[in-house]
Amino acid sequence: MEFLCCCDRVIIVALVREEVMQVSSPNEVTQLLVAWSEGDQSALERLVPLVYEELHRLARRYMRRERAGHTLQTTALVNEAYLRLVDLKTVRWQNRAHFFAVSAQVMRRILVDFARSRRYQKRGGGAFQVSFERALNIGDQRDTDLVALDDALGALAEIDPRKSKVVELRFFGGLSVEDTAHVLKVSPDTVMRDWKMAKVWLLRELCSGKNDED
Amino acid sequence: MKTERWQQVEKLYHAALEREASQRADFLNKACAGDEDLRRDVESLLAYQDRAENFIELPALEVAAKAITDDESSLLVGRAFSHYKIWSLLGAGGMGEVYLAEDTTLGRKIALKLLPKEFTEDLNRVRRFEQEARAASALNHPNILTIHEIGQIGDSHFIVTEFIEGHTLRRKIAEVAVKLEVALDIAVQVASALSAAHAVGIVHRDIKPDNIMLRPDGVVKVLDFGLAKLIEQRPRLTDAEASTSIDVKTETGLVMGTARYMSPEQARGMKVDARTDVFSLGIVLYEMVTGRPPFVGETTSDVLVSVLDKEPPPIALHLPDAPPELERIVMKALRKDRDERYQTIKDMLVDLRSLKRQLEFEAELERSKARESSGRRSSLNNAQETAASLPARTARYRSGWNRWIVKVALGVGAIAVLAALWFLLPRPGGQTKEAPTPLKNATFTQLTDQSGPEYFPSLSPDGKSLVYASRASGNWDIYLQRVGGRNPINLTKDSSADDTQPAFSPDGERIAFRSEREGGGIYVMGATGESVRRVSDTGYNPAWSPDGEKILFATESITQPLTRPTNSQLWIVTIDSGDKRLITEGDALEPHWSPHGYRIAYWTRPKVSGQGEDIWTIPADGGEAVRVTSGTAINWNPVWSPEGKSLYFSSNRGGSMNIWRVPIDEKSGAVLGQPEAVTTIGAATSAQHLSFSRDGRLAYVAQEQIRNIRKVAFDPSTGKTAGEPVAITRGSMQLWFPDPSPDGEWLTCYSTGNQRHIFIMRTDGSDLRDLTDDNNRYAWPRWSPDGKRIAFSSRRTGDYEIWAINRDGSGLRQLTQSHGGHYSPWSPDGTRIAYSIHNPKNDCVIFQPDKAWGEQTPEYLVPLGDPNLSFEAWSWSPDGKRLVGIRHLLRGIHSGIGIYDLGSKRYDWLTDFGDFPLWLKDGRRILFVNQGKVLLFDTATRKYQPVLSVTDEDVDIGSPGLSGDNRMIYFTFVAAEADIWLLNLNKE
Repeated sequence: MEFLCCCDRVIIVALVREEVMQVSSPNEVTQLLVAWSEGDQSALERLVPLVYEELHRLARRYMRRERAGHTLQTTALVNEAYLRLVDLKTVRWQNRAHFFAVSAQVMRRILVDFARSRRYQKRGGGAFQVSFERALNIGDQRDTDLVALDDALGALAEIDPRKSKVVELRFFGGLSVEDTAHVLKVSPDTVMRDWKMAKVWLLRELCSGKNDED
Repeated sequence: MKTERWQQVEKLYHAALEREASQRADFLNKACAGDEDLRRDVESLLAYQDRAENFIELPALEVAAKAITDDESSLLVGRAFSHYKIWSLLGAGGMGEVYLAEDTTLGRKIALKLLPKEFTEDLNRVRRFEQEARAASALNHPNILTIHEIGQIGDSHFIVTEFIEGHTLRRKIAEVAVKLEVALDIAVQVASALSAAHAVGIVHRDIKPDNIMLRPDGVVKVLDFGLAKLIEQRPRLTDAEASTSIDVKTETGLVMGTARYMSPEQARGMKVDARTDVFSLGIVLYEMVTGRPPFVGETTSDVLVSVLDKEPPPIALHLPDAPPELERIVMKALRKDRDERYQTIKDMLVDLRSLKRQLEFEAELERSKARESSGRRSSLNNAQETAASLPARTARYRSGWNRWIVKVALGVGAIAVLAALWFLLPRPGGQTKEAPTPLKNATFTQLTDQSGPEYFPSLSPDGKSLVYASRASGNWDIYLQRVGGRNPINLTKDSSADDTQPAFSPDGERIAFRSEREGGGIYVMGATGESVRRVSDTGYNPAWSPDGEKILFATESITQPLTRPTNSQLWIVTIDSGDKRLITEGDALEPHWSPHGYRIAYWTRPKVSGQGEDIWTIPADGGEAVRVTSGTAINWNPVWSPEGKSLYFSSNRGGSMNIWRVPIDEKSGAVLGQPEAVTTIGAATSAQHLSFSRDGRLAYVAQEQIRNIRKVAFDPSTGKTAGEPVAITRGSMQLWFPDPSPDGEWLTCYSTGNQRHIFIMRTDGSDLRDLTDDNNRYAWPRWSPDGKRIAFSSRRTGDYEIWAINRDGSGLRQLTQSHGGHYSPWSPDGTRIAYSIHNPKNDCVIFQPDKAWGEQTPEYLVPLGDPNLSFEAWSWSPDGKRLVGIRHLLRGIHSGIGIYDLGSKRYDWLTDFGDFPLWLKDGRRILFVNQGKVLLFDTATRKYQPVLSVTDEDVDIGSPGLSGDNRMIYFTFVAAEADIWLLNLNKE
């Protein structure tokens, strides 16, 4: 079942308008990330609302083009969102790898917290079982439960820290294979191999619902 | 330990992956050496390998954002909104979220759409939107989504519509390749909805696959009429801006889907009209059949630039088997200049339906061919080859005929439209799926032969008189004529309004008819035109009750048989009291009362798209309707035989429109046998409008298309005609392609239809003579510059080749041996002829007619580069250095006129429309034909001006010829002719 009444022709106008209103300053986010990586704990508190704001902005767009047939462009779109959040040009080159690692960590923390609070609000704190089988069957990977994934990633870190890092950088940090390789000081081929292996392992973990290694 | 174990697992996992899937189990058994846990571990990972492909490929930020989307969308779910209980979110788009809800007062499922507040701030806009949305819904069209309510709670505006169980066309396109027949069916239904909306002045402005819902039963619903009205702002993107573009790069994904369905005028932010919907439907149809949108780009601005400037790749590029007619229809809808597009969606609808029927017919033919005995197979194969060897020519006729049909469809002469559609169909070898069997001993007598059409005959019960409709006097009037007599009397000459559809009363004393006077209705007059009286203020096609006290009528006519927006009802009115009674609400047309009064026969449009128009009967005092015909054929105009034992009707079940009959029980409506052909008149003629006398004689209308040659004086200095066109040939001719001799004395042309013969006559029409005496199909005669010879194409050797013959019919000689040669303009000095070969490469070649073929070194024109395009040379420039011709898109679709320079070997495109270009002797201007107009193109200014056009609704202009001094234009005048005939079914 699907029922759509969308009239997106108008969105062009709306978007051009929206473009003018910058949500947050990339520079600000970057400064906060750098500050946090240098040990300023209060920076995180100031970062969270900015990321949330960006999240909601993205969400509004999804609302509009939901199922309108543009899923192919989503990756590009989200990468744009990352770029909007952090202004890479202001980060000195030698800090770049470190900065990437930090921002992925921060993003993971913020997004998982967000997912956790949402889960709590929505279900009154009860168990929220997202069926990954279902998610895969219907091909909608956006149903991924970030909280469960975070847990699984923790388990992966215990047996293979590098693979866990690869996932953190790519999935939470939005980094390309090359940037991930740069951060971890390995070859892009290794990153790709780790990424694929980690995905299989994590998926099995999430689908089976328990850790086979125990 | 864990880590070591994991490394082992990983190593085995990758090693197993390198092996074929079938060998992995063996490999693992060996490698794990009895360690079952290890083997299970690796195998379970392998099991997830495929499914992990897309897992977490989208970044977490998007996952989180999506979660918010879900939250916000579901805020309303489970709550009540006015008297609607919201059940679930169905979807969300730029114009709001749509929920499945229950109307708690009526207990039905509905769809509720909340409009975004940003678009409902301007109350004037909201009002305009509401007006359009309501008006479209009020049309009650089966393909327009019904709106139940448009309302407001607080500052939330919402629309409540019928709930459609189904999915969008967007999803269908994404999921599967849409079959051509299905795509056409969908396009026809959308066009039908748009046509109804356009008729009341509503333009949709936002036709795209997301706004088209498909129900599981095949019914298509167009959504969101009027919604685009909420937003008057449009992106302004002029050509100059397009190159710099609005900075919407990061928004690529969001707006792409929208820009792709915009018309050029929308992209430019110009005012739009109904032709915008034509364009958008063209895009949707293109995308349905190819799976790809025609205009694409990396960014929105790229897409818009493409919409404005780029020609879409031919459909045949994606779908090699696509019918040329489909290409033509889509490309015509996608013309950048809206003046060159289909001017109305109705025109497009007619073409779509015609193509749809053609494909259905061909499919049926294929099926029946499969059933043919092997003995007949060979002749069919031959016939098919013939059809295939002439694709361009077929298409050329086709496009001309389509236009003719459209014109007819819009005029009063629309009665025969569906029949006329069948002229388009290729009928290989004249084979038909149900060979009609003519009745023995039947005699045919022509009753009327006036020029112009005569329609709606009604015989008096004694069979001695006839009334019919004609517009001999300028408007439609009803004429009375003695059967066998020659002097019709105009019974309605006192009324300037149109009067049609006369019907003699059972006693022959009165005539019921439809008149447009006083707002239109059903009238009754005396048999000689006296005592006119109105009996109903609505109605068409009146039919009498056997006792002559009541009149049965339909609420709709069939002047627009393809696009009627609403259901036609049947009513009975009692003449004396004026009391009316509704007989059937469903669609019913051309009703006829059975002779003993038991039942009423009528025909109805298909309930399921793709089915034919079928005949039904219903008890005259109400009850269940009984089907008489079924299948995909057109069946209409049922009349009862005088005894009530058969229903006679018009049908194309034999290939073209003929009269058929089926035995029937007058009381129960039970069909007692198979339909049987009564007439088998030729493919170019259709039979309909049946009327019986009491003694069983049957009057009907035979309609055909006539092609005659006309000429008109031309003043080359002004580029205008001087005086009125004059007919050179008259009567039921089928002549085409006039070419005057250089001295202006003679004219050649050829007959179309099955007998393709070349004719020669004096330019005043005298001395008409057949130059050919066999059935080897001759076409496209062209005079040599010295006026001694005529070159033409003929199939005398099996393939079409270029031949030449002397003016007196002697000296027939084959000039080419190239397997498929057509069109043969001579160079001005007479030493060369250019011609076009219909081979896979579509070569255009120049050769020397006075050299034997073996000694030739033919000059091949440089191909166009695109294998889907070909060039057909049509006329030499007076200096012999250039050729003007027609650029064809793959397989015969015209796409414009261009010049080939024999020196530089380059093409120069003049137009992207038009046909039959002829060079004037000034070497500067070119005469050509497009859509019923003769036009003159000036290569110096690159502008064109109209020379001659036909305004009449049922005529068209075909191929022109130009006299050597350029002072006379000859052209083919295509007109509809309809005469009334009498069929006497002698009993054996």
